[in-house]
Amino acid sequence: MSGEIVLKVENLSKFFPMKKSVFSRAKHFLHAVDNLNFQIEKGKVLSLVGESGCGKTTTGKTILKLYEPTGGKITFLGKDVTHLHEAEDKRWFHSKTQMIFQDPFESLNPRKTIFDIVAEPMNIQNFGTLKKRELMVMDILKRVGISPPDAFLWRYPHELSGGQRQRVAIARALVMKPEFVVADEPTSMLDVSIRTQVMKLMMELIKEMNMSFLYITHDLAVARYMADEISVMYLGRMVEYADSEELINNPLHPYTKALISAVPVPDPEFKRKSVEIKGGIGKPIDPLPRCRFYDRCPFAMEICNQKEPELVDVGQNHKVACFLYKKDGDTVA
Amino acid sequence: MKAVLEVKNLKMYYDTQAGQVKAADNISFSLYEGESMGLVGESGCGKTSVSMSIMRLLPENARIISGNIFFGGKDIVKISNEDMNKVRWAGISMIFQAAMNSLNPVYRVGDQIIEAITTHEPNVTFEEARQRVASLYKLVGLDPERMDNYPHEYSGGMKQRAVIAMSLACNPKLIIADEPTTALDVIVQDTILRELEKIQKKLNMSMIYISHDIAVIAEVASKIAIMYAGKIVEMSDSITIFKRPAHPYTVGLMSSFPSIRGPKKELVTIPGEPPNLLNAPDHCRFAPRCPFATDECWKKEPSYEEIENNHFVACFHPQNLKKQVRNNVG
Amino acid sequence: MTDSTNTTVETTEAKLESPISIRMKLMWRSFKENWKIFSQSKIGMIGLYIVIIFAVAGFIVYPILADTVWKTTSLNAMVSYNPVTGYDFLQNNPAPPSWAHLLGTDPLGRDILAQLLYSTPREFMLGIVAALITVIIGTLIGTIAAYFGGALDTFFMRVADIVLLFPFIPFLIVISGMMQVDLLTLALIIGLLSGFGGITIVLRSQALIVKSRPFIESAKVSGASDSYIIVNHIIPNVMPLSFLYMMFNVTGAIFSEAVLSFFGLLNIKMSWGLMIYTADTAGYIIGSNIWNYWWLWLPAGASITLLCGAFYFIGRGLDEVVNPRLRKR
Repeated sequence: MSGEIVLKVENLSKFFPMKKSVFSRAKHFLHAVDNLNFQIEKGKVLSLVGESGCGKTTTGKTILKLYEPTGGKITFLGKDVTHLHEAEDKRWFHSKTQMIFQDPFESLNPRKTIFDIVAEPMNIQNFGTLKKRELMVMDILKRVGISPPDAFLWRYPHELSGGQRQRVAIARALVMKPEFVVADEPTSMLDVSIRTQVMKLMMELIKEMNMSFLYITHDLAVARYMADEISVMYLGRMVEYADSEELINNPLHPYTKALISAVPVPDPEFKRKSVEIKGGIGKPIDPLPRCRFYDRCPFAMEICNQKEPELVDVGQNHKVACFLYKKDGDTVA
Repeated sequence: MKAVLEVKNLKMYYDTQAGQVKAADNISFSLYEGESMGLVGESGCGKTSVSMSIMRLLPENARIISGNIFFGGKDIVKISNEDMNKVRWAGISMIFQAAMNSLNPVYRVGDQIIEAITTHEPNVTFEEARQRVASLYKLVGLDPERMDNYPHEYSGGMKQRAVIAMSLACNPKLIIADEPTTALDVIVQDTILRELEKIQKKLNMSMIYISHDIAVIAEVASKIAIMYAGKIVEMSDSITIFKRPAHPYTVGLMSSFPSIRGPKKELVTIPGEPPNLLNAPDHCRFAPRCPFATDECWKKEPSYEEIENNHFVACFHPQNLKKQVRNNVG
Repeated sequence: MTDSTNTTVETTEAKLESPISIRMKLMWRSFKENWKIFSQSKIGMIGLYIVIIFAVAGFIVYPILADTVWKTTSLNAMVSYNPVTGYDFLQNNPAPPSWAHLLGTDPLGRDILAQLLYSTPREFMLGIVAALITVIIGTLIGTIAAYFGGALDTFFMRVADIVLLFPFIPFLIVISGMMQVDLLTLALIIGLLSGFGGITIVLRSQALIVKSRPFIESAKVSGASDSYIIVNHIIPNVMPLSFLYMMFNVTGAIFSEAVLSFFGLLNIKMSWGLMIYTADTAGYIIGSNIWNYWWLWLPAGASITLLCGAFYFIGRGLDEVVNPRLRKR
């Protein structure tokens, strides 16, 4: 539990202005990520779980500087990387962080060869000689199961199957041995039998290279398999956070409960009981200062409409943002 | 019970420049009244080809080589296009894979369903059709007042419900749902599946669910066919498939899903990738990935046989048969 | 590339020796693949044949003829085949086609066929220079506007709107009144004007699609700069479309030249448009004359139509290469 902290995120927020044109000033904001706190230790995997539009992908992209954060602080390997200005800092940060994308058909440039795709991070960082790059590309391709690598070096992505492409994408992300990787639904587009292969491969590589992963997924079962800790997000807020087995077996937040109960079970004799929740997921545009799950929550109380619940520790590294789990003295203001 | 749909030795091939693609090869199954069947397989295994053959909505370069599809006493492989048009919607209707996009964005949702009704039943007046749409909306859990909205005013789940309402519009005997919930979030998927199940029971329709997700199929289908590389490799009632999977591919598929219930288990992977159906091999198509493959499997294709009551498998080395299970337990 | 038995180290050495030759091979392979698709398009092949015929006639046949049969010697001193200054004293001009002048002569006694062939390379030059300028400007502005967005994007798009609404031909007429416009200047003007116009909008929307694809974010995560992304990712993916529009622009440029020459507004020695202009100003394209003196305008007119059409056809053929959806199975 006391490993080196690779990434620490404090009060991270990302709001998107809802603009009508370039010249008008934005009046409304989409609170895609709102006041997020978490940290990832070396060699650990944290999974962000939630439905589409909950802000999990935005979180990953904001950490990797694809978006500028609206507020909060990001610390990477003890260094404040919230805003990077110096070229040297950018270089350092980008050579140590990477991302694996969802769609292996879209995340590889169709006009580049496999060699160019995998070597690109090194080319951008001007890393090593051409010969060294070539050897590293061969090494990592072999490691991700693209073999023999020299038979694939000069092929184009369209000549590969979906599973092979995702392996190439993983090779590209890991070729420079990053410290921290964001994986955004890396297996959701793959076929069942291929998905398991890729998940296992990633698990092996994480252990082998002692990397930290932020694993973004909508599938709790995948999160349970991949992650050490799981954090559930709802409309930009983190609603629950715990070690993965604890979260799956003992969910506290009504939304987590609903989410878990909705996962279909591959057993025809098992009669699942769904937690019924009302309505559909909205959009966090200028949200009111109340619990964002208020509209749909079967246990909504008056206080839920009055203020936003904070994430509170209920013991055993299990945190939940719900007034049902706050000490009595605090609830009534 | 009466068979609503009977597919016999269906072969559907694509002609491409590179050669013949055996998309669906020797497919046979029958579906009874009120029964729901699941067709499970990975992409490119031919599950959509089967449904497109049943609907006779084939692309230009696809041909039904041989086989029969009996629906309502007629072989719909052989009937004329006009007769087939009558069968579609009124006899068999379909919920498509990208259902959300099958609504035309420039027309009101209700009007699109009314149009579907009036083109197939010219005697129905506009008012009657509107009444019917209203009751369909109630059936699928939509507010009838939303009839006059445009598709973009619906959420993903609502669009899916509207598409289901549309597929029910002409009281079909059979609905084919091709990945009906793939694009939806878990909670919406759950409610839609429950809705579908309820409607199917209420109207006593037959359904074919097509999905890559064996867990979804487990919840809705009473009979499951597992497809691999253009063939049905195993078929039985869903409990048998899950308790005693016989084909090594089915066994692999079951244990390669991470589960949310029970203790965390190690995942078993099926090595390799599905074969290219272009110039498919004449040995067992699963042999290259199969841990139980023997010389026999590399020489010829296994025949599709009933290994126990109502349990069909195409494999030389079926697993988990009743005796073995008993031995293991005892 | 298929021999998988070689060990990794060996092949690495082999690959490193000549990365350029590997790239060349890859380019050749993709050219062959694209050619296979293009060659299946009948319309594209017809266009290509016509262009080749014109090119051969203008670049090879004319210099040979001018140096041999059409050369002014003491033997045929009275018959000149110079397309610009030549005058045939042996007959009344304009003369209908004969063995001496296969397509007849114009009112100034010049050989029509010689004029036609002499003009061909100039038409090519004009069309290709104009189209190149258009496409280079269009691609650069389109990708930059799409990539950076914001005020820059708005600015270039409004410019494009203005250029699109611009009365193109009247503007060229005014320009040619103010200054001496030769072929190269014309190519420059046409290239610039259409470069800022419609093509920018088309290429920008293509670049917007490319920009939103995850491999761009993938490069950004690795620390790629904006210029790196534009040069290495966006432009290569917009290029096929640029190339396609280049073909359509050749058509436009040749056409504009013909119109301006027809009004006699260009400072050029000879062109297809000018041939028609000459016939027109001499009063041969009026009333019944038009059919009596058909050789004065028909060869030039047909050439303009054919060459313009041919480039357009090539564009249509390329369309099937660039947009896989149009391909027939």
